[in-house]
Amino acid sequence: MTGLFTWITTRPVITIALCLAFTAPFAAGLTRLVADANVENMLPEGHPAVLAKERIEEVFGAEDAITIAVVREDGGSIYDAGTLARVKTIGDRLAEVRGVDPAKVYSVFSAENIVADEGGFAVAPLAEAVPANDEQMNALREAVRGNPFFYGSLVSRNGAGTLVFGALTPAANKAQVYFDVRDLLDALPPGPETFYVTGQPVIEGVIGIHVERDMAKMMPLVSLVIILTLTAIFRSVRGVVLPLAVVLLSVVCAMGLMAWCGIPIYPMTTIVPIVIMAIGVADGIHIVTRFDEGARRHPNDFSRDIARRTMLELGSPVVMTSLTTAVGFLSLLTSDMRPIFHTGVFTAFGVMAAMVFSLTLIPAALSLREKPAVRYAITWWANADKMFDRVGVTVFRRRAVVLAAGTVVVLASAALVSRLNVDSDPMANFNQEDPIPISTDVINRLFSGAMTVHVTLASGTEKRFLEPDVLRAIDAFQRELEADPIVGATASVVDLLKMMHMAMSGGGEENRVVPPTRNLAGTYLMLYTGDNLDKSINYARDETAISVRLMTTSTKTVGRAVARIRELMEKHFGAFSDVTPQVGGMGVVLVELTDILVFGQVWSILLSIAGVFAITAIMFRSLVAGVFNIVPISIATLVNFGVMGLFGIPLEPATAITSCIGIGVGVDYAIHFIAKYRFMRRTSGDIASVVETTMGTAGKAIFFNAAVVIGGFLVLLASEFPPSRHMGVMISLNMFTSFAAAVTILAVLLAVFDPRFVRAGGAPIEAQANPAGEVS
Amino acid sequence: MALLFAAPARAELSGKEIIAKSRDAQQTGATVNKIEMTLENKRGETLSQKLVTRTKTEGGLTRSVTTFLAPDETKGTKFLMVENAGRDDDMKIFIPDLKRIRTISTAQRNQSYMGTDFAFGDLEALDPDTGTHTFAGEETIDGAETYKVETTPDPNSGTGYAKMVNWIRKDNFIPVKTEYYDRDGNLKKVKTVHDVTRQGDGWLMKKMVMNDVQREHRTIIQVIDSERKAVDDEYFTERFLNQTDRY
Repeated sequence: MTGLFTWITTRPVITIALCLAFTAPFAAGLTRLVADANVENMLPEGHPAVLAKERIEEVFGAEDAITIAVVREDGGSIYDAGTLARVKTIGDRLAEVRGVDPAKVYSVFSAENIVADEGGFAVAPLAEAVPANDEQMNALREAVRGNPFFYGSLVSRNGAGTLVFGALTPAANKAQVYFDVRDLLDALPPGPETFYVTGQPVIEGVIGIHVERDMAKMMPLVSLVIILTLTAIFRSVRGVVLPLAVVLLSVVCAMGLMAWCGIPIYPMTTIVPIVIMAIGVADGIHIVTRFDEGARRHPNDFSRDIARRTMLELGSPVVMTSLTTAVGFLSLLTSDMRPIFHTGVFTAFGVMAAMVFSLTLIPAALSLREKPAVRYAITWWANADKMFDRVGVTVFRRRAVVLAAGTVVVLASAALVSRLNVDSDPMANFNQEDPIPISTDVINRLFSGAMTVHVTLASGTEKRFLEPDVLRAIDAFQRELEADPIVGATASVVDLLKMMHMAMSGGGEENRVVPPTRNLAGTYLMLYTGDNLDKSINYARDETAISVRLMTTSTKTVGRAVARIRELMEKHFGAFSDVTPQVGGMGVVLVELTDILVFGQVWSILLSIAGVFAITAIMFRSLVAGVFNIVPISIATLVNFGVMGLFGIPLEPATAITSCIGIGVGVDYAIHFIAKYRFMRRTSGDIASVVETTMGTAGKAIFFNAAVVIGGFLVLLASEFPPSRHMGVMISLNMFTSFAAAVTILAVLLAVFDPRFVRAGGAPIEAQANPAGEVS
Repeated sequence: MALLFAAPARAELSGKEIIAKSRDAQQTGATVNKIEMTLENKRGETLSQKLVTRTKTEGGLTRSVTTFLAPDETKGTKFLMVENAGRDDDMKIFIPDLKRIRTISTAQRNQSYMGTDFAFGDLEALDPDTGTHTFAGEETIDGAETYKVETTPDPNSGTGYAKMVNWIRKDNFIPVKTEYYDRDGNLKKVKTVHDVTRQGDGWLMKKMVMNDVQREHRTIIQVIDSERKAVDDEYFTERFLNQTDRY
């Protein structure tokens, strides 16, 4: 290391140039960054739920549509000439929106109905024009009621609302469609109707916009927080510029790498730059502080010599703390969820880049000026020593109390963890007042549900799904499923066939039955010229899909519904050996996400703690030391989950990574504290004074380190995404608990148990520390 | 008039005249055709039907009766269509398992015929006396020289198309390619005719393909066997529909 630092400090310009050259290729990639809010891309490609959804789309066509609900909330009904006129206008104009497939815009004016009239059979739009009189209006009402595809879906059961929806073309700019539709609705003259707009593409489109806004907002914000913090601590150019430069370059490298790898930014990975900045700045603070101190004590030395000595002292701690942080993030690689996986990879990369820049760029820049400008310690910074000394004294004196309090906190947290619930609701990505959750709620309440799940039946036998036996089973399955309150509506080819048979038999509800022969079923399907069919059954008639709409977006509830569906699948289709049922669709994808989440979480935590244990045990050359190092972070993790259980914050993808960040970063406090404690303990048997001095020096440094990191993470409170805001709070809490546990419980444990590793044995870490024992 | 002198193309016939000649060329009198009709979706999945159609045109009005021969679930289904002067066509369907005749009142010409990409109106020859027909040049399609005619249909015709473009062969006036445009001016369907052969003193279009470019779906009508011969009136009755042993 000596040679490296000598080289860097004697060739500062080249070093700085190399750093910039290293960053340049990454910077070039930044323009390629794109956002991705597609929920199913969060799962790995081969995942069964994703495959099932892709298969459904392949056979039956993709589901993406934008939905406009027209609702009379004034107590009126949509069976009103004025309202229906507006519905027609909306439908017509929606077809003209770029990105909407004009052949696939559905409303009461285009949806096709099968009617049996006197001696006749007709397939005709539900309404071709706005009903001109009461008789026509009633006819429309009756037609809707008679068709399960419409009653409760296209038109709500209470008649207060109706839907207009348009399928999007594959190349549609989803967010733009949403905004164009909003403009379309705003341009209508005012009336008694309220409009709600939603749909999966809209959700994704708007999330994409939020991602962009978050990135644009938070980077400057966190930079500002860091600048202010650095200014408060240093009040010098080098103190502010150098740590900031290190983290900015690191962010460029990490995001540039993400772009070159073709990885999009997910709502979750918007935190990557923030995290890199909040964490990466700490090393710079330590280095500049030591340098300032060195400059004060040796004002006539050359900058490059002071810088070199600083780096020899701090090189190891900087590497160690960066490694443990990186390990914390790399444990996220166990997750099957791509956003979590990528957060782990790219944050780890950014943290290591910050380490490299801290070790190279900072000493090089410090060496530029021949003799350092001497900066005096800020008074309050220097006086803080005394305050922390007192803390140390108190902690030691009241060690029994500290231990007792710690035990209570641990037990309470453990108890609260059992209340933790897991949920992953796409609506959780939005604030409650956001139009999208509100619209989705309306769709759930009035129109049978915003969440769709598909039950697909496949058979090896062609034309199997013309046979009455299996069609009747499907019918029974649907009726039993619809009795469940969470199920809004179901639709299948059987509903269509029943309607056609009724029409062909001359009408009468008693004829609304499954066609009694396969020939009838086959002929009806041949004759049917309306929409819907492609979605329900394929040409070979050996695959069919039943769509099930659920009135919820919470994965927990969807999970229960899916379990019920599986139960009924077995009950109604279990007897058919040549029919294979399967559940799939967006709802199932979300439930799977949730399961992966929990499983991945436990793994990640265990892995990070194990990794940290290993690194610190090696570093301190003692297994016992490893144990002491993981005490504060283990407590912090437990408290983290306890608090989530207490406040009912669900374990969602975003909060899931809180623990790993907490472990990787929080361990730094323990490392610094233990290292300093050992250094002092080696030269003194007076435990009380060892605690006091350690607290006054390392304790103070840790406090400011934690303060900076917490300040950085609190910037997440400005995020557009509730999960990111939750994460900001949870990580900050985690940091605080790690810090508090390090300076209280850990201190007391060291004092009480006085383990061997602090008393004897060689230690690399402080070997080059200033013999006077002064630390920044 | 200036056009006749200035234009290099031999535009002796007007658009309307070409369409009129085309309609005459497509008259079949009385025929019995055995047809295979194939529906193909964008995933390449197909559904094939075999049918036999008897057609008779008298006094400008056409009657046709179609019996489905395959697949087996539709076998025996019969479809009767009778064109009437001044009022909607009669359409009746007989499904063997139902043992009854139903009237289908999808009288709109833009409705799909039997679930295919052909609308009822598409199966008829263009009427020269309604809408405007404009000669638009000459082109070679599949090695045959054709007249290109653009037609703007009468808005009341109910076809749903804003415009049609026909490429009509110069030698036999059979339209070998037709483009159909929807109300927004976008191309909706393309019909192509292949294997045109002489049949008696008329022509037989052996293969017709209708490609719905918006729905990404197409229908192929392939004539397997065709005879021009007298067709008895009794085929176009409900009695014939009810006779399950006759096809």
